[in-house]
Amino acid sequence: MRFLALLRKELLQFTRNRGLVILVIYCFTLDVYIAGVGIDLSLKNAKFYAYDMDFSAESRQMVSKLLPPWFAFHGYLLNDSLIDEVLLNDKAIGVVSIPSDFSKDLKKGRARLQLLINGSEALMGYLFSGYAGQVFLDYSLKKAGIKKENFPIAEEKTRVFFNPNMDSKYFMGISELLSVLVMLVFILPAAALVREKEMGNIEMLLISPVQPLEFMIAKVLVMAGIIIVGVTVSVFLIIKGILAVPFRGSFLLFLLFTLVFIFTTSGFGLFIGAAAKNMLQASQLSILILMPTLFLSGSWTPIEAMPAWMQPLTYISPLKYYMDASYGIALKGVGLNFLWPELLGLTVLGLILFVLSIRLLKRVF
Amino acid sequence: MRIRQITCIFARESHEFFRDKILRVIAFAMPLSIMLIFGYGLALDVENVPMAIVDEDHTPASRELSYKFIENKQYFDFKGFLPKVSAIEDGILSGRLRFGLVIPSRFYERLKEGKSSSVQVLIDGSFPSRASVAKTYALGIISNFNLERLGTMVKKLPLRVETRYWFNENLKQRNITVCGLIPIILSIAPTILTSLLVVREKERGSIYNIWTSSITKAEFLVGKQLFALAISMVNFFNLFLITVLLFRVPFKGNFFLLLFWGVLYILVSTSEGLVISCFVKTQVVAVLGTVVITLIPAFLYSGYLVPVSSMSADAYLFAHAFPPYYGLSVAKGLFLKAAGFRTIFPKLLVLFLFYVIYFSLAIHFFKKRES
Repeated sequence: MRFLALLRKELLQFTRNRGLVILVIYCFTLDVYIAGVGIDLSLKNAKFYAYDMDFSAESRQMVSKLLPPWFAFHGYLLNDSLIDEVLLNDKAIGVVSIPSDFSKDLKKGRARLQLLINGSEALMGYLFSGYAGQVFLDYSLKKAGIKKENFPIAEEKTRVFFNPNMDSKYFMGISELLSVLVMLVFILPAAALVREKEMGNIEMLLISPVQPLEFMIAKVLVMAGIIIVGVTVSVFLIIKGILAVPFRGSFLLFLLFTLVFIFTTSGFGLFIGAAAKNMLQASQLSILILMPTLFLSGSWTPIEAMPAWMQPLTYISPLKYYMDASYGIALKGVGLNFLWPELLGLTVLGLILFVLSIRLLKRVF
Repeated sequence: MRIRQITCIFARESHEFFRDKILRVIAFAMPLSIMLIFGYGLALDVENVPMAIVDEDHTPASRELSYKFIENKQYFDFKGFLPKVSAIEDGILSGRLRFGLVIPSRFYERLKEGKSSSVQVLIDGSFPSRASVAKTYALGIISNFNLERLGTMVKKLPLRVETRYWFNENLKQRNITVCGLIPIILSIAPTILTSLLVVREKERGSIYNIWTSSITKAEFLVGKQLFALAISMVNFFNLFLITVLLFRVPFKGNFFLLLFWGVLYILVSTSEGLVISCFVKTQVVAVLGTVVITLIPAFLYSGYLVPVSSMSADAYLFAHAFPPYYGLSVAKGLFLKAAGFRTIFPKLLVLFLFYVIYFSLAIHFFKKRES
């Protein structure tokens, strides 16, 4: 009964803070949508200009080879100082520069063409040069009289798993949902605990028969409930509904992972709440722990691409296991037979974290 | 605007800050830790892609093609030959592999007959950007293989393409990712710090002192903002030094312009924090709201990962509606392109407008009475 009263208190405290309720709703809906819809990490709509000194039919043909949706042609530059300007102001990813005797040279079989890439656009610069290079190589092969079908060359047929069109929505939508979830798991219990301290309520709690552990578990349980509702709404309404990302695996398994994840990670949040004396401290502390947790999960950079010394550290980010499992369930549609190592890892790491934070909490109180 | 009132608020905040043993450490450690983790770890280069090959052909030609992939150690991390395609599929399902190459059994035979022969490339699409880069690698390697085989048949290709990277000659991604972190961190850390400065007094009740005093709204907010500016400027110098000394990113521009940009940009971020702080009622909402509102525009819509110029129309507008795009563009210009005052002036002007708008909003939302 006492525990139920505690649960009720936490739930009321949450729902009465209108700003907080609105924010949590925003996190699970609009925020996921904005992140999912806006960003495309593949080459699309890459703006380029042409600096054409030849102005022949052949040179114009070169420019028309770079087609939408990958490329977007924005016009001819009339002198070479403009190249500098469009690249300096990030108005284009690249400029195709065609020398003056291009068409003559092409007939003689020794034409040259320059791709000037804006090197300050990291990923797109590379993709631009890769795709454009391939387009011109194909053209060149054709010009040399090589038809793919009747020549002894290897052709590639690509099959992309889970996301055939390499659509960034799939990745960004889920990644953002998991990120806001982590943020809430970190900040909500910490904030709730610090608030009791700042208001002075903690003294009353300490002299009451309520055990500190009981009190914290109530906070975590209520938060877990809120997050589970939020995740369900977000997956069905935003990710499946509006973003039209297929959710291939079992949603219940995903909820199981979410629950395990919340309980393991709330240890961090409670610890921040116990260690911090005021919200300023709590906010800075939670960002200090949140950013490495997010990063080491591999959602920004896959683990194999991190520096070697950093790779072992990823095993201490609970988000890594959760992230792998979520992508596995949502995009790959795999079940526990593939994901049991993640569940095991999450549980073991969670137990360690929870025991540690409880011990630290006891010292603080 | 009276100087004494402002310095008084400034001194009060500073006292409180330096008496707080934990806060005076984390406020400086937090931006540094983001810089170090992302600076070292964030890799936009697609390297070491775990890859396996199924060679059903077992001929010199298939081995030659396999070898072309295997020897490309920078891009591909070769995990071994597998007996059949389903083994690659399993590897991709469980996350051990991200890339697979399948050479079919009549590969060499068909090539000898003078026909084209297709090889299959399997890619894990769960990281779409990496998948498309890995695909261009594969295309490049296969084209190379073809050109070498055709070498005797075709004298010369009629068209040669040269690629040159401007501003960042070797396309060193770290230069871009590290110097881009400065504006990103400066749009998050100062905002979070400032977002609590006013609402904290509201929740504690000490705001009554302000309500009853003769200090004006602007004086009060400027005092708070100057305090946050002072803390954030220390962070600005720390970040700059780490970028230049530890990560060895060459700074090509004018340092005084960067300094000017830093002050202006922090004024924008801290004003944004003040708006939030004056608007909301509780600290929880202030912190959570600030993180949510700043993180996404800073990382996703600033042009840090995806160039703003190639965004869809909606996203393009969204990016222009927040300060990080302008901040990042100026910082990159100064670091990588040695941009001069004339180039960055329009963007500085927009940042100044953001400052004016945010600060006016903060004054508007701050009430010197019970609401």
